[in-house]
Amino acid sequence: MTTTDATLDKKSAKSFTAKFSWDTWAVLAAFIAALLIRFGVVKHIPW
Amino acid sequence: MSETFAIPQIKQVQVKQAQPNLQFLRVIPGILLLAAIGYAGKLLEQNVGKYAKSHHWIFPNIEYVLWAILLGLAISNTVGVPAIFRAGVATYEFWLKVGIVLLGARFLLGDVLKLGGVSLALVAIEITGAIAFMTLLGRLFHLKPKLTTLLAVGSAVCGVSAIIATQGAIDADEEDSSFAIAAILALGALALFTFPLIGHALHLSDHAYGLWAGLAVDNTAEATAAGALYSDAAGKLAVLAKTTRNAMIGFVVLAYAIYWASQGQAKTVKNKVAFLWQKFPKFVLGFLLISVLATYHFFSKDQVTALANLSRWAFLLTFAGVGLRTNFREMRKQGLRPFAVGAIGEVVIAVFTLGLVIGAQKIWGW
Repeated sequence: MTTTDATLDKKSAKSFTAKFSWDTWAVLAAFIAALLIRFGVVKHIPW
Repeated sequence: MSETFAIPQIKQVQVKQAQPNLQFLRVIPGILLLAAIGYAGKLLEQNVGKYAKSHHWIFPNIEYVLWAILLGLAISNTVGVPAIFRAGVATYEFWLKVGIVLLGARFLLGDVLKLGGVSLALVAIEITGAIAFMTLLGRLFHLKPKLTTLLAVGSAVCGVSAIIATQGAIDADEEDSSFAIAAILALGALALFTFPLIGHALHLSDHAYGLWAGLAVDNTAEATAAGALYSDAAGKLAVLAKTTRNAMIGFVVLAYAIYWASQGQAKTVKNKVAFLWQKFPKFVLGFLLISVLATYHFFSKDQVTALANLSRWAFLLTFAGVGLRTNFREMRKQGLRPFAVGAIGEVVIAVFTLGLVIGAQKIWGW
């Protein structure tokens, strides 16, 4: 792999993750957690 | 080894945060630190009161929120936050947003629309008044116009996120945004300790206090903490009011971007709808969607309780992060004038919004 290929790979990986802000990741994480609870994968969260 | 957690460093971490990548391992030590401090706060809440009671001491009941913040403050202002933990500590904003979205399960859509409607009316008045007053103060104190803009947006809308969003949109200096962020964070830290005291002194209801904290405290994390310090119900209301305020960020930043572009000191905004969507806080939509799902019984009662508990855990990490990123020594270095403008502005905004909330309380009889 040339240096240019490596740079391009790095850039494309970065651009995929950079498409989503932390804000969006937080919403996705919250919804995944909500669905896990909804469908009984996680049954109880103690406090 | 243990360098202090300075404001410019916070900003660097936030810039890195904007590009999440697969190297998530570097955030783990900091997240573990947040969890350890938060859990220690919870244990202290449970055990200090019991210990004091068993020894017949008079000791106030201190909530886990305050313990977590105090522990974080103690570390940040004594030994400092070591570099290995910083990336993870900076994720406290992520946990805050996760917590807010999950909290949506505790609101029925009707409540959101009713309370959100009241909040929206008060937020519109607050934003207009705060921007006008901060602009006037900036002129009186001869601050640079763009620094005044950053302070006005930070105190009118939503603290650090609004300042960072505006900085990019109006091409403001890094130094100006550091000043504005320092002022907003310092005043947010003060609000954590003063707001609950004032609320109790004035015998404000949970409803009125929560609304006031959400309207007057600038940063979302501090507004959430200031609400939770008063009561669970006040915490819920503070989050709702603050979320309504956050939803306005795009419009205010767009207005300033257009103004500074018209002065030839910022880039012209070509696609206004795309600009608004880019600046709109997506967690507000997540909060609303979870609330809609809860309203239509997508979740059972036990599941809503589980979601609410998960939201509390997420907030626990946030409160630890609020303490850890607050370093008073570093804030002092940022200069007195922006802080003075911010402080005067905040006091006036706090009094103004308190008047608004008390007025609304009388009208709606909360």
